[in-house]
Amino acid sequence: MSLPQTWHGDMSRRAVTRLRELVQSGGFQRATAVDPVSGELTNTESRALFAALPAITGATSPGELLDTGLLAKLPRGLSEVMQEPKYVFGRELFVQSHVNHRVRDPQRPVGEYRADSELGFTHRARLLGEDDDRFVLELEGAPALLRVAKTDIYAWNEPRGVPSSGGVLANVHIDYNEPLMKAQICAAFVDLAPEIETADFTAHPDAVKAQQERLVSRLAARQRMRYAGTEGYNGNKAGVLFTHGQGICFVQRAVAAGFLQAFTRTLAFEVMVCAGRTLKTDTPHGFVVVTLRPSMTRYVSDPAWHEPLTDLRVAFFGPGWGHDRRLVGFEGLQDADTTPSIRLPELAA
Amino acid sequence: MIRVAYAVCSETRGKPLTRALCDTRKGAEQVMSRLKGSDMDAGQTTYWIAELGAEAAAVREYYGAAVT
Repeated sequence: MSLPQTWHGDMSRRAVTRLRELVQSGGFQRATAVDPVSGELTNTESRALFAALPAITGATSPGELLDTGLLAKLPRGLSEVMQEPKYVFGRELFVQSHVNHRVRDPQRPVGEYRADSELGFTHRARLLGEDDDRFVLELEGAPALLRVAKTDIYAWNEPRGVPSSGGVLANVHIDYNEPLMKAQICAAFVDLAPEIETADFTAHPDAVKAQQERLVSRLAARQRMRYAGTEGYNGNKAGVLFTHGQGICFVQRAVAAGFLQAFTRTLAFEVMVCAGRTLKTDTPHGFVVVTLRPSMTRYVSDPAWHEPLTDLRVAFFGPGWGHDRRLVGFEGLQDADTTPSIRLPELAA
Repeated sequence: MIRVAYAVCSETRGKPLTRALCDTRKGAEQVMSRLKGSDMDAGQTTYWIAELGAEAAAVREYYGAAVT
């Protein structure tokens, strides 16, 4: 016999109330203690409480969040901001072209066009217009404007990650029903609720961007993993790895992506799971790219390098300043069913 | 955890990296020794070997053929 929906709702609302008390009393961290080998919660009371919490995923609507009791109020103007066009004049996009990642001038970023360079990704293409089924872009150093199929641009710029039902990335099992995953996501909502509830997407664009930066950065900074070969749980459960685990950069960014995806509809941002390489030694390196809406400003979130949110232009500037990385490709599932909205001038050839 | 690979790791100025994946500890030690000799900032770098499980297989494509 299955229990009625309202019974489950009452259970999870009560669990949210209990979790809030735990977070506010400072006992949350202690309640998440795990066996470092099995990853099982050591406290049976915590296990029962976390299991009763609601599962929040990338598909959870802001309205459903209110029903859970995790938020009392949604940010002002949230639904309108999600309707804003994403492909607008001047937006910087990832594009594959002949690009140079060697430093020619330390005062200028790498990633400009060079005809004799190999094919690679740059973050520096700027969207100018559309021409039928192609976007028209400018890229520093290119002899002419680039015309790139919209399908390619979407493949390189739309969100990438795990399905809202969960999935596996770099062998990390992202299960939104796992008790600790539920606890970490719900605790983050509880902690950030005062700022989320008073966020205002109708404010000046600079103020909107600043409040999103602050919130997403605080979310990302909650992840505290150690690098592989040190101490901590080295299994594959994302919720356990989040604050008790160890892993290489590809593992850490899979955990980050799974966690951040649960907040995308409430704070208006997108997540891309990325693979890259360092510029100095050409070593593989994994990180996440975050795009804020509606500004479409991009950032790198790199848990293994302790960078919760670095402006993409800084993160990809060059091998100096410790920001030594370039984009090589993407991982994870992309929702192919949605056609992103465009507001651009026609630029026929 | 079922060991799948040995990762040669390095950390310079707080930025850890997995430099290579190896099938044997001996191979990993040889790679580590080579990196210590060739890295420009080896003096400010810490090196170690980590045992990896199935995540190594998942990211193997980025590292090319494993060093045995």
